[in-house]
Amino acid sequence: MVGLKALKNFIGALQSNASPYEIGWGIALGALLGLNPLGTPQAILIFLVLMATKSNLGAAALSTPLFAALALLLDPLAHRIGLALLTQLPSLTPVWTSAYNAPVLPFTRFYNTVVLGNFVLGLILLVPLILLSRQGVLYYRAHFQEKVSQWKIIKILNLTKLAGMLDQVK
Amino acid sequence: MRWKYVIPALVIIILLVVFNLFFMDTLLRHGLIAGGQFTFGARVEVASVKTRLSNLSLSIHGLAVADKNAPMKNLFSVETLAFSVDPLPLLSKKAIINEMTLTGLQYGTQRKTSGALPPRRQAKIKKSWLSADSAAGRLAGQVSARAVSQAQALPAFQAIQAAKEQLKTTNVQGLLKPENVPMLKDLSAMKTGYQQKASDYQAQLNQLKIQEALASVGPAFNEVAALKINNPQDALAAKDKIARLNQRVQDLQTLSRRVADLASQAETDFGTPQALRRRIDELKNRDLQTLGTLFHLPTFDFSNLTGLILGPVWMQRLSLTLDWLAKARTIMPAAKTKDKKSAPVTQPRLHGLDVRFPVANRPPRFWIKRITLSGTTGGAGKTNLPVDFSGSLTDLTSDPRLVGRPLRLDVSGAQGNRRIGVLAILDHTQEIPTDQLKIDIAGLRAEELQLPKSDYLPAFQGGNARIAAGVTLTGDQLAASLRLDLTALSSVPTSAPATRDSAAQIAAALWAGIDSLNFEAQATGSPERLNFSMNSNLDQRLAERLQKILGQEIAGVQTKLRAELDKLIAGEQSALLSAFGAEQKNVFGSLASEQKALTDKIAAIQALIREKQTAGTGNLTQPADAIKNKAQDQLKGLFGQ
Repeated sequence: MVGLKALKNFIGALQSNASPYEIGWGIALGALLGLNPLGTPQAILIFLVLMATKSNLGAAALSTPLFAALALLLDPLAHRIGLALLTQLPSLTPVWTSAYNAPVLPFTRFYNTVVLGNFVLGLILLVPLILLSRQGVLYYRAHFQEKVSQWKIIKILNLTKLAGMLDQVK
Repeated sequence: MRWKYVIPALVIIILLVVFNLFFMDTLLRHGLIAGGQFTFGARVEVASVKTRLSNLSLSIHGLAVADKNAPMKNLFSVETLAFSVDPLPLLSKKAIINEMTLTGLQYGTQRKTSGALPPRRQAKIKKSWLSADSAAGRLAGQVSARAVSQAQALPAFQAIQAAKEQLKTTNVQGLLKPENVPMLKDLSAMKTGYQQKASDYQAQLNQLKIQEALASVGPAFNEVAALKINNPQDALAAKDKIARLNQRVQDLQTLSRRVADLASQAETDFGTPQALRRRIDELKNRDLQTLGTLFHLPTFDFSNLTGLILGPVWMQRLSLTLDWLAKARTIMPAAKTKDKKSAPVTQPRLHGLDVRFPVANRPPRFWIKRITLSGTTGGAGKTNLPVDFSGSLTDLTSDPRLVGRPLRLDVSGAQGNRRIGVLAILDHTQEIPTDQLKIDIAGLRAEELQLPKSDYLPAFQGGNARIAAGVTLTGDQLAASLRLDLTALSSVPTSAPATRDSAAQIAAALWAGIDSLNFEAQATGSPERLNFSMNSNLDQRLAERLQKILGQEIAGVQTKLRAELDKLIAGEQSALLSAFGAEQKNVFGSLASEQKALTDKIAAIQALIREKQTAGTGNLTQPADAIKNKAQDQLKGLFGQ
């Protein structure tokens, strides 16, 4: 149900006049949120940024679970990245040690190879995702928006009160 | 900026802050009460709580914790408790308090309402405190159980009364039967023994054949007596006969010595009549003692009476101390393993690895660096003269290993001759925890010692008590000691003479005039093998007094018993003494008579021999003198003179 709602919101955003950058930011921040464990300070921070900025929530709602699922596949890669950063770069050891002894930072679980690896992956993917998403939205609107708007399902969605309210929020 | 989200979020935050301002203190107060009740197992009251978010400070006023073992008393109460939490470590979920102030501390004060928790809540708390499973908890249980068994031994006073009653109603005649008096048989055996001895000596005397020996000397004696020595030839003939008679004399002398030996042996064997009477008395005393056992004459072991009285009090306090130490060990667990400082260390997890980095000066989860405390030993419901005290408690923490210093409580106070000093060092920084507690109190009055109350004990009052107590718990090894010196004591009976039962009267007499006591106790060992030792200067005095109290009754029964015993054995005793006298006279008479015959004979023979020798010498020297004189005369004529 939640997944359907997220899909509906995302399609609604694509079909509307929402800014491609906002959709791109939504997807990128959603990805970053999905790659980080829930309940950690960084996840809370990303969520607050997502909510406070005009990032597209529909896009974020779709990308978050998508990247959370993708994180399971990326865990080996994330582990390698995290392990390399935490143990194989001596120059970074003082940084990690300081962070480990700092007040709040240990709650981020940065000392876990997969958590750090996924966070770094999320940061690396942030800008490319924004740019790619923007391009994707523009391409979609140029080539598919008309066709998709003819679909019965989209017409039904557009008629619903909820869709209208969502549009207002966005 | 998405204002539609930001503004509601800000509103919610503001509402939360406002809620905290108005209701946080109330919530915190309820939290403190719930946590306190969980910790102490009794009702906890907090008058008010005031928090200041600006400096993260907290002030608690009117804190009172009830005593779960005495619900109408407070375990302790505090007027004000104030502290502020270090903000930065809070971000790491660590509560660090640099300085806490605790004023108006009191303990054991009277409550207006019961401090007992509802039974269901108590059961929950009992389950949640696992201290009973710890070594110190098991020790506390052992000590508590021993205190109960010690206390149960106190009604020994009732046994005294029972013994007195028994002594009055003892039926001596009915129980004094020949089968219970073994000396009757002994006396009979002794009589037979003496008769047998007499017979043996007579037989030995007969074996010596003295009369025959005396008779055999007769011919030789007569021969010598008939001798006439007139010339040397006669002398030569007499010489052999006298020599033979001398030989017989020597035989008689040998016999005489043997008779003397027998007489000496008989004297030893029979002994004197006084010795025999002493022996009879010994037997009588032995049988009286045996009869005393048969009649269950009371014997009391009051070798540790003071221990029976003061032991449970001390053990209860010790049990309480150990219970608190067990709780302290639960709250402040000892170090188990040392942190490895080398880094980084990886630990496999379900997802990825946790890499551990060196920790520098990591504070524990909870740490009160210093508590400054002050209070008084007085308070509601206390009749003692209060002593104000002050001190400090340092390094109360959830992880002593990280702090690296033991918890230290140092409290002292003095007022006139009254003094109080408490020093506790709980060292949980090593794998084997060591807890030490030393208490030194002087100037206490007897009633403040809270000694047990009983009809059999006086209400100790006044005086001047000094207590030096110590507990050291290393791992599960306990070493506890107590020394109590109580002087200038006045003991007042707990009940009026009219209402006292006989046993209580005995107890009152026992305690009368005792104005000082000292008591020493020690407990050592582990929960599996706990040893107690207690002693006091009072035990001997009480035992002597007890002996005096029961002495008259016991003496009466013993006199009666002796008289009856004398009657019972009179016949046998008389027969024995008669037999002894007769047989002794018989044996000694025979021996003396034979000895006399031998001595007379020897003397007669020796006199005869001397006579013959003298006579012989005279007859032989007369002719020689005549010849000598005649020769002198002839020589004179020859030379003309």
